[in-house]
Amino acid sequence: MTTYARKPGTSETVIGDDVFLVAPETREIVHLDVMGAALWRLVETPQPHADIVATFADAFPDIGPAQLAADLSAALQKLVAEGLVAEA
Amino acid sequence: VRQGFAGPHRPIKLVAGEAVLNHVAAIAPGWPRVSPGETDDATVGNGILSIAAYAAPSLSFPHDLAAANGAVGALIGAYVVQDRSLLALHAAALLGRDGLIVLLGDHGAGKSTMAVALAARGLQLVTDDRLVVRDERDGIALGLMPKLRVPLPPNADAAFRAYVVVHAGAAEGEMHYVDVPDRLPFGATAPLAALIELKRSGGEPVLQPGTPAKALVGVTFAPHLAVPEKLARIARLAALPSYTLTYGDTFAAADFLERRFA
Repeated sequence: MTTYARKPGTSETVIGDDVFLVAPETREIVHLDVMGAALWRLVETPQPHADIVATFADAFPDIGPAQLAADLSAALQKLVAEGLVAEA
Repeated sequence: VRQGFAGPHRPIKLVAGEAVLNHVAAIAPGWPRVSPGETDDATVGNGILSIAAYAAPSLSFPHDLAAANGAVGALIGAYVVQDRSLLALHAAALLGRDGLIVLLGDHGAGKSTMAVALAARGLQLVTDDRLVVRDERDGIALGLMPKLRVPLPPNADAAFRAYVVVHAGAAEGEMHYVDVPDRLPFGATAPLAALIELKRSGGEPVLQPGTPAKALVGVTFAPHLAVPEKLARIARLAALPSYTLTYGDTFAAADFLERRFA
């Protein structure tokens, strides 16, 4: 089971409702959308993929499980690709 | 030819052909010339602009006026990186009754057209494109001419068209500068009063409280600052009174902004 965690050295700046992260390797500023910001909060403590899906399923009962899993996988992969979250 | 331009702490040296430097003089007439410094900050050769003052890729331009516009951009960058209290916003700004109204928007959002339309309505123009900001509190004017792309928008009214013709500046290809009278002169400062993010949609102009942080990240130029400091400075800018203006017609929106801020 894959576990997701914040990448050490990532810095966070919150401006109003907007969350911006700076990836430690690229030093690029990344603006998080709503789902990205929620995931970022969640993986403050490393989370197995199944736990992330379960947490979101509780929060969004109207979204079908397959759709939710697909949305979450895409959002997590985006965070990984941006160098903000590590998967292990 | 080597030409020195005044910087906040030392000269900025631009190396370019005479034609490009003449265009720079035309579009930045108030920027004081000084003896060039020893180090080349920017060089234009064969239409290629190389910028040594800060990390930037070389740029190529189709004609001398476009190269001069790029060189002015390099001058602004070189000006800003000399002083940690400064940063630049890719934004237009005009002086309203309470201070500077800063117009943010994506490329093509109509900042320049809106800025010239507001200048034609009597607001004092600071810039149509690049605003130098000190300590997230004051804007610094560089006295630059704004530029428009021709043909003008089809909905431009006769008064706007006449204004552009009467105050025509240098032009080449689609790029037409406008010698807007009474621009805030080089070095003059004014406090920042409001940030307005322009969003063209449709319908009548509507001004609503906005959250400009995301837009500011995209338009803030500060290569001399570490990224976390840049974000902290953006956060201070975002604390200014901020709005989103949605509109369909640029000129109706200019009327609206004139009533609200002039």
